[in-house]
Amino acid sequence: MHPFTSLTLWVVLGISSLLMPLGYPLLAYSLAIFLALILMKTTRHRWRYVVWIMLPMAGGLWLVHSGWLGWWLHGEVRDNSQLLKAAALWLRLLALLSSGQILLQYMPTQRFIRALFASRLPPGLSYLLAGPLLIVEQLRAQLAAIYEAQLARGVPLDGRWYQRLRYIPALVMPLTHSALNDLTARSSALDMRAFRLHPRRTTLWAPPDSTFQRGVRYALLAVMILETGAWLWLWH
Amino acid sequence: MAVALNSLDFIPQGSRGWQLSNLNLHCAIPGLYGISGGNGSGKTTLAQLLAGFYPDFLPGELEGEGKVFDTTLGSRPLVEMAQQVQLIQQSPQLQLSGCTFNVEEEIAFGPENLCLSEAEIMERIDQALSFTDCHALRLRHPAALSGGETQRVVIACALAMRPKLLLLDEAFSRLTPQATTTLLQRLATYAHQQQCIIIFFERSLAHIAADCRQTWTLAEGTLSVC
Repeated sequence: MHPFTSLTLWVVLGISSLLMPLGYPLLAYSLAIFLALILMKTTRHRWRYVVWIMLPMAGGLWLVHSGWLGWWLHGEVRDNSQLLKAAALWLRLLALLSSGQILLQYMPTQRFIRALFASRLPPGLSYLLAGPLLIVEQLRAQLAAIYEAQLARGVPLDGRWYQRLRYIPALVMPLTHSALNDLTARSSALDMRAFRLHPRRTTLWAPPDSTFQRGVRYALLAVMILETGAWLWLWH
Repeated sequence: MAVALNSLDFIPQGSRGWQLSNLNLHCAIPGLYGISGGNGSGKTTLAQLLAGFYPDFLPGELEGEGKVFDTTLGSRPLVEMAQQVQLIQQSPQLQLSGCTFNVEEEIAFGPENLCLSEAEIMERIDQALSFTDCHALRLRHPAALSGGETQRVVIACALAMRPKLLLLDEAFSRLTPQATTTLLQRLATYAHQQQCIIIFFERSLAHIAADCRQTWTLAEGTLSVC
């Protein structure tokens, strides 16, 4: 499947979860997507990423929206009137994250970026859209270098959890500074490779697209519009 | 004349008195040329000037006459100059495009921007990989390479652009002596075959001088013939 078709499908799934009111259908929908993530052999290993985010989030949402946090901190009367809304939010995020993990399994970043560069979008905009996906690897390499350097200076980044927590700024500050300082160098490096010299560029290894897939994407777009229209009509 | 600097002065923005002054540099015949200079002598600034960094990436005051392929310095943006001029600098990691997932894609990035045909790009990739002995790195992620490997890949990327003027600013600093010697020999052949002018900016030209048509020394912003 072309990466843009996968992405459109994910957006439809996401919008469906966002527009669905709290109730058994939303519960079934979110759990079904999460179950699909677990049941599919290829995506099974990704369940941890979802659980690591969703469990602490459930705890946080419950603390805030059950009124317990306010009661503990300020002695306020417990008000849990927003708890159902928080539950709906949690279920929607569960659906979004689970479907996102399935998407990532079947649409590797490399393929998506190739598709972006091969698209009709201007190269500069494609690079901008791809930026958040690309920056992870670069920051990871930079972070590893800073980590080693700070360890050599005696910063206890390999110490106990509270020491590591205390010295997080020793990692974050140099990382932010170097990332900002490197911007000019990166920009000149792109210009040196004639990036954006022409409004279009050749793209090797572009994922194959077809008229059928383009049709599917337009159909999915129509589904999104219909869903949003139905939601506005029925609930507002 | 590929490179012609006549009484050129350049004061980089915020340089606090430091400047390149009265530079006279002429390179017309394809081949190797060398400019030596110590730390802070102005090698990188001069290399960036020739590459087309002025004024967008190298702001400052320019006086005198400076032309690269009959184009006055500063009159064309770096992105346009890149079709003819390539500069390889000391920090190879910062010269990667940052949007590729293996060495092959990284080398293809420049030729892709030139809108060349797929066959032509593949041919350039193969040649650049062979030239720099990077075939074994072809499918490795650029961010996972060592300093020396990245430097070779950056050289391969520059060669894939088929420049007419190649500027190497301490571009061999992370390579082994053996790899440096091999690359120098190949670059001498490349310059002859592709009718390319290659200028080395090094702290010492001891291992290059014999192959160079002409060498200069840059000291405190002033250029003198060796």
